[in-house]
Amino acid sequence: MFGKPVFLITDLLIFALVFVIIAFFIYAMRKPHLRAPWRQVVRSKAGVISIMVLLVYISIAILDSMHFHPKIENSSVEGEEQYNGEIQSVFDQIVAEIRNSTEKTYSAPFAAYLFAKETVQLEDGSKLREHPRLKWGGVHLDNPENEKSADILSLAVTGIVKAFIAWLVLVALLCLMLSLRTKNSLSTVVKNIVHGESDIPWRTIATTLAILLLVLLVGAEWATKYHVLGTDKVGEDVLYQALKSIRTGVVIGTLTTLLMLPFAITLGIMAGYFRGWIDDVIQYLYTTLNSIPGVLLIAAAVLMLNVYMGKHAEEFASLTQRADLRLLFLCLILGLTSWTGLCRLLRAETLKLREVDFVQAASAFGVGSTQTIFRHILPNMMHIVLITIVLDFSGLVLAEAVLSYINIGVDPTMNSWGNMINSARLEMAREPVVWWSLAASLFFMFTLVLFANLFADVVRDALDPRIAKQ
Amino acid sequence: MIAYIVRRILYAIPILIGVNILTFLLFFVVNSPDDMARMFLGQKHVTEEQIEDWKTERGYHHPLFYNTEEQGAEKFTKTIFYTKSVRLFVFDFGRSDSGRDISFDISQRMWPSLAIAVPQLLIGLLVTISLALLIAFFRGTYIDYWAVVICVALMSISGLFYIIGGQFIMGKILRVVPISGFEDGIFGIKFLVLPVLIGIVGGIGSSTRWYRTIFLEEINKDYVRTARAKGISEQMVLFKHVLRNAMIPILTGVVVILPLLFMGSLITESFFGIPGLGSYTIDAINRQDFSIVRSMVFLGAVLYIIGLLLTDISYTVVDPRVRLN
Amino acid sequence: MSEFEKKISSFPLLRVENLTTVFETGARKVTAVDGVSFEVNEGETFALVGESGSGKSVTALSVIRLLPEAARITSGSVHFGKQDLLSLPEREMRDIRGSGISMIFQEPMTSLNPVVKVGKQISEVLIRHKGMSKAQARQRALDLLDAVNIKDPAHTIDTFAHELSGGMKQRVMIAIALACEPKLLIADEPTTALDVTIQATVLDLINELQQKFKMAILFITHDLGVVKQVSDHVAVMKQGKIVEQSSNEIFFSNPQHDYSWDLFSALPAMEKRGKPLLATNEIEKIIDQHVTEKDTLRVADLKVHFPIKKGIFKRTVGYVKAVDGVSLEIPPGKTVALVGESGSGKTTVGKGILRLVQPTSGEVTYLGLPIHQIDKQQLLEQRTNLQIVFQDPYSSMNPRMLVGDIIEEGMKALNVLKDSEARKERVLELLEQVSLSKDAHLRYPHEFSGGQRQRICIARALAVNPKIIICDEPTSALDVSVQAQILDLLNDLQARLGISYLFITHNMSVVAYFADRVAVMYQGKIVEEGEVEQVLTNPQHEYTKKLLAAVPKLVPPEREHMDVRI
Repeated sequence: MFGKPVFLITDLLIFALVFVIIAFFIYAMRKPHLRAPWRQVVRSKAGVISIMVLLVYISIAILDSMHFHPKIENSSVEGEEQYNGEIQSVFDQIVAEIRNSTEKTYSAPFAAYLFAKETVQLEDGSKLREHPRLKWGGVHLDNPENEKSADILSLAVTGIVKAFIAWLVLVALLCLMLSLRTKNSLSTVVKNIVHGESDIPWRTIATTLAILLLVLLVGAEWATKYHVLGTDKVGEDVLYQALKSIRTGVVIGTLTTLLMLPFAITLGIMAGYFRGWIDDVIQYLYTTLNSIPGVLLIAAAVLMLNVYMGKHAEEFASLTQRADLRLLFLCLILGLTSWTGLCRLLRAETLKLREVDFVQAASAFGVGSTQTIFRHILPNMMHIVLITIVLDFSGLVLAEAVLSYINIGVDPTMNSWGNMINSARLEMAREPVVWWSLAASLFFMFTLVLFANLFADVVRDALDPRIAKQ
Repeated sequence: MIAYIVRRILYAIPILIGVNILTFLLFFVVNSPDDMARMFLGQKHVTEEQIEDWKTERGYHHPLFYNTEEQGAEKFTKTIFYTKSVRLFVFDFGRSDSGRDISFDISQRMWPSLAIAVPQLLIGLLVTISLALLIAFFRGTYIDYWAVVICVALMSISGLFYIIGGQFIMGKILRVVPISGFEDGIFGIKFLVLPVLIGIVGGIGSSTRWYRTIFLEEINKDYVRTARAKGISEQMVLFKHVLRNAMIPILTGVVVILPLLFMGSLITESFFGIPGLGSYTIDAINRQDFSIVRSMVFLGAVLYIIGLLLTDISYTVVDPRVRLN
Repeated sequence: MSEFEKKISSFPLLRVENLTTVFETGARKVTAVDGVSFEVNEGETFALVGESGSGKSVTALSVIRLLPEAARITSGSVHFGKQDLLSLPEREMRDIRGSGISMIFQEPMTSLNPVVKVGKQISEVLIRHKGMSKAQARQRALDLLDAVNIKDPAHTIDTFAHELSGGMKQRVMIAIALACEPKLLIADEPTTALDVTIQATVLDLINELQQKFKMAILFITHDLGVVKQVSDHVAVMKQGKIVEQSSNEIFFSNPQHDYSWDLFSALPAMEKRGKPLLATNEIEKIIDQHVTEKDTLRVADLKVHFPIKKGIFKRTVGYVKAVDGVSLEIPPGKTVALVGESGSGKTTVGKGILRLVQPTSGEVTYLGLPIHQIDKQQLLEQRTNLQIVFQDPYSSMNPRMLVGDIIEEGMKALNVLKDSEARKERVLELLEQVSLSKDAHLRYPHEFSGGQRQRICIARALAVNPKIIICDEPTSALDVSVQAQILDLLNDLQARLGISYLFITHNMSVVAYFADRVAVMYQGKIVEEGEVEQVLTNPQHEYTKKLLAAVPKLVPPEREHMDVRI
């Protein structure tokens, strides 16, 4: 459709993760004890709000993970299409307009002029220092000073109307679906939602949907004509950068845990179940790894990676692939520093579980170790694993920013909030202050982390048997 | 007790050996010294001679593990593994790649790090414990609910924001304190206020929430009901009974990081221009000075193990139920 | 005594009227106490009896206003003397707690603050209510520790709770409660967590102190034997309501309410041997199999020692001798009871026989095989003959598995039935055998009550057609009425299938009712062994005598016409 697909390694892992989540979802729906806690999650207001916000982020991340070499128009040679060497994502295509709308340098949000004065040569040869017009932002206006506010307002109104229509359609579909499923009349369904009388908080969902649609559609409307969040030093749109950074954050937050899970689970259960020298070796392993301060281990590893990549530069087909490998490596090394915590938890839990009566009963039946582990121990620890996955997510997103800030994070060419903050570090010292790059990255990151934290809280409350009992 | 400590120290030795081997592999086997030299001297237009000089200057010209050209014990001692890794065990950090004495640098730079980290830890503990206790007192009310929401919001903000925002507001707009810098002696305090303050504010969200959980867990225990049955007021129950029990996990959690305070904070120190070990490390990372990073990794591991030992000892001090053996 | 004084003293000390307490969790409302009224007079002991969940503890906590946060008193009144407790502001209520009304709780292990010395915990209440100085309070605390029969008060006053045994802790709790000489002591199952010999001394102590301090006691318990021993008045609670109130004499000779009769009939006792407790049909022995010498399981000099490791290199410096030379025989079709108090090693004997714990030495012989040393394959074969049922019905089933799969697991692992259809068939048959509905196999353990779960566990053990089942306190986590059902079921199964039981328990009346032979265990050794009648009526060993003397005596009243109950 767009061109020749390219699968980066992290893309494949992301798709695998999505597949696993969907598979687990379908599996869990059929098991009442697995379904029950998730039902509790979707019945809490904080739960549904955070799920919806996170879904927006994750959708962008997934769209941004579908990569391809774009087709070069009208370039077929002997019937074969020619492809651009550059790698783009589906998301790039969707936001192509702001992606390609680079200016010369800084411009403030919604500006029609550059931020800094420049010397312009007038037709009569005289020179004048002024703020030149932008190449793209607000070019449709003849006289920005007078027309801009009205234009922004009218764009907003268009966005609001679109959002309202979209909201009405979606809510109507929802009501229809509910009324079909519960076999209640449409009016009862609507009344229940309006009064907030439903198991799943549909009213909260509808409100959140309204807000999300408003933000997305009004923002989209504005973004067609202006740089909503301004441009950075080289004139690239800041909104585009912030949006592109979502994928980096989500990849680090999820893949890191995913990559370390097999080690943590296998080693944790082995140590707790077999005890003896196996336990000693595994404990030694994680104490050793744990004793190296995380940041330093990451720094050392990334330094070494830099040397390696410098030496083997020719092995990487493109900058994107190189950056992607570095991202994967960062996930691995972050995983290496963070698996020990989970491993220790699982070891302790296994030690406890193997003495529990139902495991003893299984050994009284001569059930073997492998079966005992897979049937009795692992399923009864899954809540710890799931809680760890969601709890770690926000911490990892924050860690990416810090690491990239001190140059041991993702590749400098990759869009990430940390890189944005890093390149914006000196902008706060300028007079007048260039604040939008920093503000945008911090805001986008804050929203993701906040709702991830809220989600983690709800999930923990639902899954942790100790809390659930109270 | 003594036997326990001795055992723990003996147990620490294999761990340090493990750390040492791991860092050695990471620094010298994944990439050869030649690669490092090339990296350091710039990738292109580097002659073999320059590389040899660079290596000799820094002692990287020996073989990795076994020197066939030397006699006797020197077969082992004149190797990179011996000079660069084994020497760490006697805290001989050697010279940095830019030629400075690392041990001396560390001894100089740990004081500014401590000047930030210690007040930050102590005041932070005081503030967060008091807040958590207050929230626990109002448990189940709207105050509790919103306090938790605010904590979650605070902990969702990137640490970088606290620093940048704090510098901007306090230093640039209000101009109360200098934005960055450091000075020895009493006048240095004005440089410490901002980093300490920001460190505390940045940690409030997560610590308060964590301590609140600990308090609530204790409040639900039977002995609290016993205390209430004695007719003691709720405040006294919190202070005399709950706080005392809750301090056990809180304190022992703090003890483990005590030794690591020497290492300072990478981010804070680099932002505020504090000449501590944190900024030392981060400079080394940015200059790609492998010797310093290696030394700091080893030092960090040693301090962590000391922290673990202190934690166990502190348990016996604060918790009468724990006896070491 | 003047007329006036009489009038004052006839005023009840505690008057509870129409008390209703509701638990609210989310949208769910549970009425735990439902319109309860009773009176406690000065100096008397009023026992509130009921099974778990009957609302007896919540009633007590409502009186002293220490309810958990989810609970609320919705109506009724509580008068302490002339004071209306429910309308008192919290501050004034605090003045009453610990001085007018004191309370002791069920779990001495967790009821004391672990990091505060016991002396301080006692003096705290004195300083609070009596305004004593620290030194005065300490002196008084020493007296109190002496009063609760603690041998070395000067030492104990500076110890922490974990350094004391369970009985000692409960004594300290009593010292705290009695420090300000309250008019009313609320005792919420004060001896349930204690061994029977310690229970006896604690009950004696409470009784002695009651005489001394002339206080009233609101005694909450599920144990009718204890009620008989301590109470003046009895109230029986069921589902939040008091169904019967009578004096001790009337209650134990001629209870008025059917539910009280149910409680009595569920009690196991020597007199009921051979008869079912609840079921109406007589036990009939159906199977009369041919048994030989080999069918007896013999345990000879079984030892299970756990090493204690100490020092720099974790050398083994000694052993915990959990089981230290136990010999017994379990004849086919018989029930052997293994009786002992907590920590006597009785559970480890069971696990040692099954090799869930590897015995240190000794022999276990069954069907001519040395069970203690046969190889893995042979052991696997023997696991069909030897099975186990655990104490806690909540932890003995994997919460993530369907009941059907739980019962099937053993059959699969031990290849009892190779065909999966046949196994499914057998699961249904087993569920019927333990009186559960057939659709149970598609449900999860948490959907069942404690008694039902224990039935499932029995079905799981039966699935592999065992000859011997080791029952490790299978009824001690259950209420007496449920215990009776399980005992009936076990009796029935034994009669029909000829299974032998090694019945591990601490409950003497269950032994008296249920077992054929009994072995008394003390500190890892068996001190006395023999036929049940003989050991219980004519004990030889000192420890057995002490144990039997400690059990509260209770002969259930005989109803003249046994009602037919289902």
